[in-house]
Amino acid sequence: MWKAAVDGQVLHFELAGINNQNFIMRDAETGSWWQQVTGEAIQGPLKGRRLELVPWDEVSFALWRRERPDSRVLRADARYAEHYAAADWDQDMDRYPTVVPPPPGDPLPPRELVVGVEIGGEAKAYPFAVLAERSPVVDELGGVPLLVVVGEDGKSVRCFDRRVDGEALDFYRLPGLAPLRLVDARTASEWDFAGRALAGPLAGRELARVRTLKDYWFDWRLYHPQTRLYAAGLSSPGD
Amino acid sequence: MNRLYALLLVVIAAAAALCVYLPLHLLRPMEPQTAGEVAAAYAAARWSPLVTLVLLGAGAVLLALIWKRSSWWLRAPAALLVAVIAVTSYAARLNPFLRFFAPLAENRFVSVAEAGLEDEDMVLGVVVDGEARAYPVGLLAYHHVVNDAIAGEPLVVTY
Repeated sequence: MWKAAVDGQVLHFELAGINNQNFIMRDAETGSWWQQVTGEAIQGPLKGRRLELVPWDEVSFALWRRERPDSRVLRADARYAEHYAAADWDQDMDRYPTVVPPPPGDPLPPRELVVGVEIGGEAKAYPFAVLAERSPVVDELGGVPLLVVVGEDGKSVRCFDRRVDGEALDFYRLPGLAPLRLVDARTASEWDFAGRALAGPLAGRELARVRTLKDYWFDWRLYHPQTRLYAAGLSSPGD
Repeated sequence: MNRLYALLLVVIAAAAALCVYLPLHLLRPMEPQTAGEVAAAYAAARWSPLVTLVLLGAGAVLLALIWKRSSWWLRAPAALLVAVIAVTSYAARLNPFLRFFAPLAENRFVSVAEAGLEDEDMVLGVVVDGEARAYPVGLLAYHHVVNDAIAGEPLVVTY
């Protein structure tokens, strides 16, 4: 999701092509081509410019509805009903071959879903399957202590800077609770999936969000060649 | 002379067709792309509306010349070639990707109660100036690009 303006000029986008299985969009105002995954203009008068990112959440509808009951929801257009994807559509995508040749010894299949984080010039991919098993995951990237959490729906993922007042907290999940509750080891405060402390000494505090991108491994690696891979117990290129 | 005109007309028609076909060929979804190929596809897509129009003009002149000095056996195929150039010039103004992934004609929003989504359906959620909006991934996986504005802020939702 991007701000659709450059230097105060509002831009309107449409699909224009495919580049290594990530789409190219064209703005009607200047005709420049933009890479969807990076928000960077790759051809045309605005080549080299980048769209400003708008932080968004990729979460299940149930979770979004609970957190934002006031939300408006984009309505489907009945004319395209047959084209709309079902909830499990990304599993179908496994059948499609990829075109970017994987390096020898690639630790993950090309279409493995990863949660990518980029911070302080460093990039790291967290395989979704590993997160789902081990959530909450505490880690560090680019000098920032991170917390990566999968929601109780098993699908929504969020990442936070786990520092409060400059000190990094460790988090554990309170078992069997829905909505999900985390507890930090230092103060035993209770935290929710939005990164807010609800009870305990830190009640009212909120962790800063860290932007993530759910992506296929091949695509994430293509645009983050130096990426590391979070996979304790598995061999990985950078760790 | 007629033979030369006819040959030129064939070359022009082939050039016009190539100009329109090139970006489609270079950007095939199941083939890898290099940066050079993307640049070539952009150049072809950028200039093909103008180039094919110029070629159409040149083709029409050649057809007129051929028409004056030959019989129907040459006029008919020459006219056909000019028709081909006209078709390429029209095609250069179309975006084939929008035939496969049509954009939303207008963005209509409903409340969460009226959304008609299942609990497990994924959405992209965003909050701008306290105003929350959700874009169902099932829709985005087809339309891919939604131009919108929230609280006066223009944005583009991509998936």
